[in-house]
Amino acid sequence: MQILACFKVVPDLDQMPAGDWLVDDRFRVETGYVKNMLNPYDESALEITLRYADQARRGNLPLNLTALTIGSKQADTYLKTLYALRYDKAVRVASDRDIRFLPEIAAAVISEYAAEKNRADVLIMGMQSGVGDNAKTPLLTAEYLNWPCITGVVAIEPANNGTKNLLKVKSMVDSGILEQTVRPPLVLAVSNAPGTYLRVPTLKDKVEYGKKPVEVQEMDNFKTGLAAANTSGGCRLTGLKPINHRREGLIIDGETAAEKARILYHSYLRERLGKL
Amino acid sequence: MTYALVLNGCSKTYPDQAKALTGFRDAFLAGFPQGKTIIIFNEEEKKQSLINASATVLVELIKVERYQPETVLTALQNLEHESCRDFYLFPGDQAGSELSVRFASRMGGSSLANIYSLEAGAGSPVCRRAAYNNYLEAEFSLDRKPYCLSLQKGFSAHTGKEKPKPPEMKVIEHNAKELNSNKAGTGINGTGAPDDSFVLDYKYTESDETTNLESARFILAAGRGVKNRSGLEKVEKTAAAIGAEVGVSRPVAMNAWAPLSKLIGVSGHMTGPELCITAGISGAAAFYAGIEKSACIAAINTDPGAPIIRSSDLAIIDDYEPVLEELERLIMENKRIEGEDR
Ligand SMILES: Cc1cc2nc3c(=O)[nH]c(=O)nc-3n(C[C@H](O)[C@H](O)[C@H](O)COP(=O)(O)OP(=O)(O)OC[C@H]3O[C@@H](n4cnc5c(N)ncnc54)[C@H](O)[C@@H]3O)c2cc1C
Repeated sequence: MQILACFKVVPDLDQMPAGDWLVDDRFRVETGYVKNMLNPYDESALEITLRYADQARRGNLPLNLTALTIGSKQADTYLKTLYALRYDKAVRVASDRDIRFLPEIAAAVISEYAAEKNRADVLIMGMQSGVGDNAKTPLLTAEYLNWPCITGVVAIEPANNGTKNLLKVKSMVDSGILEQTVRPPLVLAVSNAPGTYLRVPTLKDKVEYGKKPVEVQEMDNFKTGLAAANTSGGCRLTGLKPINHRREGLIIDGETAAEKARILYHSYLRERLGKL
Repeated sequence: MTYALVLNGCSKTYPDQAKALTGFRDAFLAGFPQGKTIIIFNEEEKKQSLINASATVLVELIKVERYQPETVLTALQNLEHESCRDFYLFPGDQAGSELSVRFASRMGGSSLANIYSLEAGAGSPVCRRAAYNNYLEAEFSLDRKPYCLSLQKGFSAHTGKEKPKPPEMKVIEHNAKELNSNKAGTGINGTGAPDDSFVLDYKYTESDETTNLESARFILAAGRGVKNRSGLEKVEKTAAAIGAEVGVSRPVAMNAWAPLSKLIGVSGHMTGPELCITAGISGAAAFYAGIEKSACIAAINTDPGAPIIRSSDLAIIDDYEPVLEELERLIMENKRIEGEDR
């Protein structure tokens, strides 16, 4: 099974001080000074893939894992970690284009890479990432490739008859779990998947596998994909401004935690609770 | 301008979907008379109640064996490709969001997921939705019809008075199998779109976790500050004693200290209680969006700089544990006194 897992490195927006959301006249926001992180949904996708790999290796199933990201050099540390976690190939499509609100371009690049360069059976990635919050990339990728798509994926494993290249996919649907045996190719989109924080590589694996060079591809080489992207999309960003979450924020003072609780209760909550 | 509301009648959330889409239509597309509702459904017995919840005179039903996105998409595409509407509105859940994006791609239109407002006039429509993890609001102008939009999760509109029901409805019935049998869907590459034959077998298990977070009037929300599962269990006990519904932030659900069904926020439940007490929650915007509609927010956090402090009405800067213990004692005492008075 050839699996292509796609991810994005994003700024940890929860670390941005409240007053620092300054938007310039090209709708850019300076987020460079907060630390970056793996987009949480992509992180889950990468770990879900590794869990599949654990099982596939145990069953001696053919397996090849590629991790791909589109972005700047800052992603390379994550790509090296993925090497250390036994991804076979780590690819970065180098780009300084502002594609925050152009998921069509990300989807076009990914689908072209999957179809022509990687011959992936399965594509897996997060459903959405902060910054753009477009929630479109895996869906458009499926459309561009004419592949089916499963959203809300929480786990994948080899189907019992693993030799047939089939996959068992668990996904969250409404208020339940859907378990399907499926035949690739297909696109899998991950949102909240409990217990799927990305594992940490061992020191030994870091030394043994983590030094491989990242494969860098230029975005401009993805011509057909980009041409396709230009025919879709159709949304232009025309404004970007901070959302005001401010409330009164009245701080209740007291000598001890219990005293504060009493003031809170007697002065503010008792009456409110009485009306419930 | 013409529009279609697309509803998933196979889902338990159908009544909420219908309410949200009707509210959105009334708020932003009220001037457009030519609307229709498309309902995907699988159970014959439920058909009439699904139709009754529709907000338009014209209703088109598509019967499917089960809700399978590939089948539904191709059926929609085949139903609509000859007389495409200007707007397609989809519910604000995973399925609605998926349909809006993929349907637009197939129809050569433009899509936006998770919107909460729309200005549709003579020029290009303008929509708003959150971006940057809910810290910013983004505004978009849409350039190509059909405009396929899915609503923000938990969208509700207060349009004042409810519109009277249409006097008589016109219902047209279709079957996905028939719709999809003669006309193959076409993707942007010009080849056939996938059908559901990639699924060899499936099993659906309904979760036995229930939650009333969306209708709860009193919520106690716990975050990473509770530190572990036993920390959360304590909070759950307190909540049960004081009559609050428990909600959690993403790290708590991701660490499996609580089931995902308790998650509050943009990717969980959007709540609106009379009172929400948060314990050990920093107040990230993706969480806060889920409690924003609370009448009163009281936060307990050890860090005076935590964003939740500025976003709450009342705040205690302290360890949540002794604060909750004392609150529980006070509330229980009050309950006892009230009980004795009666
Ligand atoms: C696409 C996307 C979707 C997301 N959707 C959601 C969502 O739906 N819901 C959601 O919650 N998050 C969501 N998030 C994650 C969100 O950005 C935050 O990471 C998350 O809300 C943080 O949870 P927290 O406040 O519990 O943890 P933290 O941010 O780690 O905060 C813990 C807080 O506890 C306080 N604390 C520690 N010990 C104590 C103590 N003893 N007493 C009192 N206070 C204490 C600390 O001071 C701190 O403020 C999403 C993120 C992304 C990228």
